[in-house]
Amino acid sequence: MSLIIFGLGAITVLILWGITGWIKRNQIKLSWPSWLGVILTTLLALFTVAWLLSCIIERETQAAGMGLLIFGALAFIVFGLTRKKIIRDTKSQAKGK
Amino acid sequence: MNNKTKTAIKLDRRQFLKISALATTSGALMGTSENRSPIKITNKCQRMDQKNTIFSRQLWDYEFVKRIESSIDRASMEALEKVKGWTPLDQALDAAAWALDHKFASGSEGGQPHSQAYEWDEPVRRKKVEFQNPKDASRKIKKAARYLGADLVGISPYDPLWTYSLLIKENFESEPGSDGKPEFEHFVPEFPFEPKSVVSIAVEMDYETMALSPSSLESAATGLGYSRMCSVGYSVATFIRALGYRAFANGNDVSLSIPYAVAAGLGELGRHGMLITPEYGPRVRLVKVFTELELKPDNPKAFGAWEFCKNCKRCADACPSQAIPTGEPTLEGKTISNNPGVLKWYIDPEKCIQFWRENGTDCANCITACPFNKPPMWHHQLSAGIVALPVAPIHTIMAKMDKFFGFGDVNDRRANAAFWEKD
Repeated sequence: MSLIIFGLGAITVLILWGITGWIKRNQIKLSWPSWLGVILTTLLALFTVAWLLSCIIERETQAAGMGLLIFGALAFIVFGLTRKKIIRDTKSQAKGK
Repeated sequence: MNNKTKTAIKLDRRQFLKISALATTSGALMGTSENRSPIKITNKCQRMDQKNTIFSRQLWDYEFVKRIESSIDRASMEALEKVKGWTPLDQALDAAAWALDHKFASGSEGGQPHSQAYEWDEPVRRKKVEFQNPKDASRKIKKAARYLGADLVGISPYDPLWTYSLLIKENFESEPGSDGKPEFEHFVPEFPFEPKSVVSIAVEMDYETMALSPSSLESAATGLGYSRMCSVGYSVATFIRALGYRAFANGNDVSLSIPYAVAAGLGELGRHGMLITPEYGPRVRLVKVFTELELKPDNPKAFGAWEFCKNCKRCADACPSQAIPTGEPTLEGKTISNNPGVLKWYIDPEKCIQFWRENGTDCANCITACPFNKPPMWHHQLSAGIVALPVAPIHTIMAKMDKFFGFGDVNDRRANAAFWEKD
């Protein structure tokens, strides 16, 4: 369990590092709905990974699969919407310049 | 655009307070709350005669015994040895798990009072150890109980309503009567002291083997629970006696366990008629210690189980004998083994015990299927937090999700077969 917590912490740091680095490199300013989307996607993705691993430890394979399907799909949908919003934000920023 | 973004991200004090208040309310709703035990006890509730409990009826209710014995198919019982979960290996584990109970509290699971580890009059230290106050005494008794193996411990005042009006005890020493039927004593309980407090102790039963219900492997989980009951109960009673106060432990004998456990704040009463604890769900066995020592009682706790049971019927669906009702709570049951006057779901113990006989061992499908029966992991604790919200549609969704996710499956022969292969 402590390994899972360590792993999740490492993934969180990597995701946030990646996002902030990408924002800086491309000089993008995210609107609050985009930030909300980024945070939600990160949380849902982490939740899915944590759920999956915990269920595997517990030897509940059906629960692991269902968790991946439901929470993973939810994370994917939020990711898609956020991506769309960020692209729209970037385009309107480019026009503004 | 930049200005707009900045304005949207910035939270003013008012918004911050609103969000904080919302978070606090949700937190409070998700947590446990005290003094909200929903059990309603009416004047119709009287002390029960132990003779009428389902186990004790097998000593004297010959019509009932004949009925349940007639349903046993001897040929299929012998064939059971080849079925995974009932093999000689599985049965050996079952026998080993029950061994301590059978050695030191034999007959206790059937309710044999005042015997072995559950004797009433063991020696007591002459000089009493004094405590600052009942609160101080309670704290120390609880600490010792946890040290001695209790997984959960709570205290309530002694209430004679939950002690059987008459006890029944099989007389093992006398020869059976001419008709071959066992001899028994039926007597008024006269304890060597007036109990003031009751220490309710819950011991956890193994999650992995309990999930193999109904089989000999599941029975091993139950047996180990009983063995731990007599060990912890006897040890805690000995601790109190060594402090100079009279005390004795009791399991299924002498008194009902669940009312005391609910009063002591260990959990809530469920649809399946068992105690549901926040920590282990119904996967616990209960033992009580009656003592003359005055202790500070705990408060009953409600954490949403009763409300959840109203909408969840997983135990009733999993019960092979349809002994668990699917309707609303009532004030009386169908058999003499139900004690009327308490608003609850009355199971049909006759149907339940009949299935045990047909099954060749006991059954714990209702415990296994209960959504509260989970190992202590973060995702289950999160679900328990959501379940504590008093919103009926959430309960229905959570019960359905539990099933879709494959938790609480019963009659799993493959899992029984795989038990000995896992490390």
